[in-house]
Amino acid sequence: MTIIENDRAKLSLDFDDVEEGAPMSRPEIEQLVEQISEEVGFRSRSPLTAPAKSELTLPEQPKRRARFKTGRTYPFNTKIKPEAYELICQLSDEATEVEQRPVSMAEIIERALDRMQKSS
Amino acid sequence: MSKTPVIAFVSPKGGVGKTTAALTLASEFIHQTGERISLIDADPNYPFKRWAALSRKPHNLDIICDESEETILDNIERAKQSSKAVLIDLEGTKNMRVTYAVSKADLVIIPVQGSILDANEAAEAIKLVKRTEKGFSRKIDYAILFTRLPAALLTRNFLDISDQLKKAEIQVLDAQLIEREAFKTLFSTGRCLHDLSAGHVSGLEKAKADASNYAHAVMDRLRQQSTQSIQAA
Repeated sequence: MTIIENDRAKLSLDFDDVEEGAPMSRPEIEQLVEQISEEVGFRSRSPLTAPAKSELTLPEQPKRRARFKTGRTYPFNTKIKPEAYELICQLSDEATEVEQRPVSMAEIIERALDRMQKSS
Repeated sequence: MSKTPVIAFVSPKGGVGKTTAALTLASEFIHQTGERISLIDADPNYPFKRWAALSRKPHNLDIICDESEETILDNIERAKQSSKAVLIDLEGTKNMRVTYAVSKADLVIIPVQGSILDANEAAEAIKLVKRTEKGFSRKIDYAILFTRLPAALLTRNFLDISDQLKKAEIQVLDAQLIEREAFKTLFSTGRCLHDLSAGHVSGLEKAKADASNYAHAVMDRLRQQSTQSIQAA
């Protein structure tokens, strides 16, 4: 390559290409980036698209008490297997239909826990 | 084949002058080389989208609005194919997209204002660069760029920080960006520095001199790195 030292007259953007080892596959890159980000704390994720700002204004609703107060106020966020999630959804749907009232996923988990406790 | 340098602007903190530093460098590269330059706007606020919307950008500056960590690698690769240098302006948060950009960068510029809080944030950015360099087994250079410095004199704070960085053997770019009206005017007019006329803003010549020194300092680092890589190969 041509090295122009202290060339203050004109910049040049010509750089020789240097081989940088074997190229990595996309999954390998993604895994490594995720690992590094975790380690150094750059772990937040950007949203896929910026939330669109609605220009519409909704008509004002009179304030009223929420209808279904369940008393469940403690947040619980975790990752589970897709099949377990599907099962909870299915049980929730079935119970909703049988009991003719909304039976939430939270209630299904609580009932399962209740049964486990009783059977032990 | 010619290599296209990728320069990423990283700081976990917003408002330190990343966007201004990126536009100033792009502007100077275009002015001095006449080559096609790509600027990837990876900030969800898209400051360059608004800048380009004023329709005064040079024809050989491509602005690419990146969407997320899932699109940035492809955008960098495409920009490398179509231009002679790629600049990436990132969001001022500790985002995974920053790691993706750093993994592809040849030089990471970390803008810092003269405050100790900024210097601490910069340390986190340096940690990221070092860890990514190790993980990907490729040389990724970095340098601190002091931005928005008061024009009148170098403050005590700045000198203290500068001194501390030198002692810690942290790489500092051999140029600074002074807080000048001309740099702010770029965003209000949608122009590049060399498309401004003295009627637009005062102190333009000083801003141009700063920009030129800054571009040369960046180029010196890239050349130095390129030479080292060739020697190592």
